[in-house]
Parts: sequence; C-alpha cells; structure tokens
Amino acid sequence: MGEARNTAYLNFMLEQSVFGSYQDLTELDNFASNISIDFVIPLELISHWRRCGLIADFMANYEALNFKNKELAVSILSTTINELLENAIKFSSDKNKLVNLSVRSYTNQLIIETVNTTAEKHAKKLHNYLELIQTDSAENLFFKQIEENACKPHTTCSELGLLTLIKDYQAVLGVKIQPKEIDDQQTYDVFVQITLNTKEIENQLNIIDATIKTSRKKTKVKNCRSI
Amino acid sequence: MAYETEDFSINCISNTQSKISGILRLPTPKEYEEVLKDISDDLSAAADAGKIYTIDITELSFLNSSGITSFARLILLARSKKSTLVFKGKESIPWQKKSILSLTKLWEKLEIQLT
Repeated sequence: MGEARNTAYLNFMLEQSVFGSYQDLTELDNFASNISIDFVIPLELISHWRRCGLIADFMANYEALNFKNKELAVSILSTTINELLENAIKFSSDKNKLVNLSVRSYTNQLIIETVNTTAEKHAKKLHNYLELIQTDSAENLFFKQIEENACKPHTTCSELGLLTLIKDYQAVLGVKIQPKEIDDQQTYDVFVQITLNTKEIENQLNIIDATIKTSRKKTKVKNCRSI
Repeated sequence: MAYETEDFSINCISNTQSKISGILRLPTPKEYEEVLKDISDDLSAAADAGKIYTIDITELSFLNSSGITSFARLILLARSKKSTLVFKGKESIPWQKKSILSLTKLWEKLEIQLT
C-alpha cells in the first residue's frame, strides 16, 4: 500500500497531469480574437493586489465587445478572469515570476487561461483538489467547503473560486500540471483553463436583462398608482 | 462605524443595518475578517436581541470568492443564533443573482431581496 502511494507520488512529481477539458491552445488556431498578457505582481505589497482586478476588468471589457449586452458581460467575464488570476498569483512559487493570462474567443466559446509556476506543495494540493472535484457535484462541494471554512477563521484560501465558476457560470475546467526543474528545485508550470460557452452566457444575460426590464415596468406602474 | 477605501466602503448605518458598496476583492478571507468585524459584531448583538439584521449590497458590483466565504460566515453566524439575516441586492448585478441567491441553502431564515 505504502509502496503504491510512493510510486503514485513519484509519478506525480515527474509526469505531466491533465485534468478535465484542458486543450493545448497552440493547437487551436481558429480563434476570432486573442489577447494575452505577461506580468509580475509582488504580493508582499498588498496595494499591488488591486492590479488583479484592473487586469481582469481590462480583459473583460476587451472581450465584452463580442456580446450584445456588454455591461452585463463585463461583470461575468471580470468575475471569472479575476478568480483565475488571483489563484495564479497567490500560488506562484516566486513572487517575481511571470504570470501569463490569455483570453481567446472562438465561434461559440471563450477560453480563459492562466499559466504560473508553483512550488511542489501547491502543485500537490491542486492535484488532490482536482481529484476531489471529480468525485461530486460542484454545488455539493461548494457547500461542504463553506462549512469547512467556517471552522478555519484565519484561513488564507477560500477554495471556492473554481467551484463558484463551475456552479454559477457553467464554466468548464481544464488543468495541466507540468513538472520542471529550476536551479535544482522541483517546481511546476500550472495551466488553468476555464471554457465558457458564449451562447450560454448570452442566454444568461438576456434572462437577467429581461428580469431588470420587468422589474422596472412594475416599479413604474407602482409609482403611477401612488401618484 | 465606517470603513472607506478607494475601492469600497462599509457603513454600519444602525445596530441592525449596514451597507457595503463598490468593489470588494480582498486577497484572503482573513483580510475580510477585519473589514467585516463591525458587521459581524452588530449582527451577533442584533440576533441576541431578537432583531433582524439587514445588509444592503445594492451598490456592491463585485465580490470575489474570499468575500463569498466571508458572507457565508455571516450567514452561518445568523444560523447559529437562529436569527433572520437579510441581504438587499440587485437583479442587474450577475454575481448577486447567481452566487448570493444560492446561499439561501445555508440557512432557511436568510432572505435575499433582489430589486
């Protein structure tokens, strides 16, 4: 039993792991638009954290041009991009290492990908987390995690980001963890991809838009009656 | 009692009401503990006094997953005291319609009022 576990661990350390719907973006060249950015955010300075949101908002505004309801699209895209970005930055092995974010738009889908280098303990934790995600629905895991977090008041990780995206935005998750050695230290390149169905988002936005319009009409009628 | 930064503001309007506005994307749940402490204390006291506590988030345009964890903690606090907690939000803010609405599963006396 112990030997099997050791072999699995050794394989994890040396071999590439792929989870979910991960696609090699270099093999998908029929994109309608593609924007990519490399950057470094030193986490030691908390004021720099705001840059995650700035980058997420910029990318969301750029991609929202492909949607009819741009304002609502920005909100969903910025939320999604920001979650991936925050994870990539939090778990980078060296705070001065580059993080890459790309957003590619295809006919019916949008692929958001972050790439960062992480330490072995974070790679292993992510590996275990991804295995857990495959055992139950995102909704069940989300509520289990909330109850667990409640018992850890000073936790620095919510572990809800990816689950929220899958549960609330029908996001499809794909991850590749690739071992690499830097200066005799075992590190890992982590590629996290979220695929959003653009038609599905457009439908969701139409529903929200219709609800807002109905709500406004009701308010108008109510106001007229009170006059 | 108030907390104001360039991105967000938190105002405890009374002992039973507060308002959170802007963009709330703090790095970890730990950071949220500090900025939501007054709300947590007031909610606890209101619950002990048998009063309903209301949080207005109609002008809170973004909340990250660390923030959702922290909001869930407030809900669990209300649950532990069997008290009613109300979130007033907006239909037009997607994360509120999607994520905050689903938190009603945590506690039957959680009311989400989206307008």
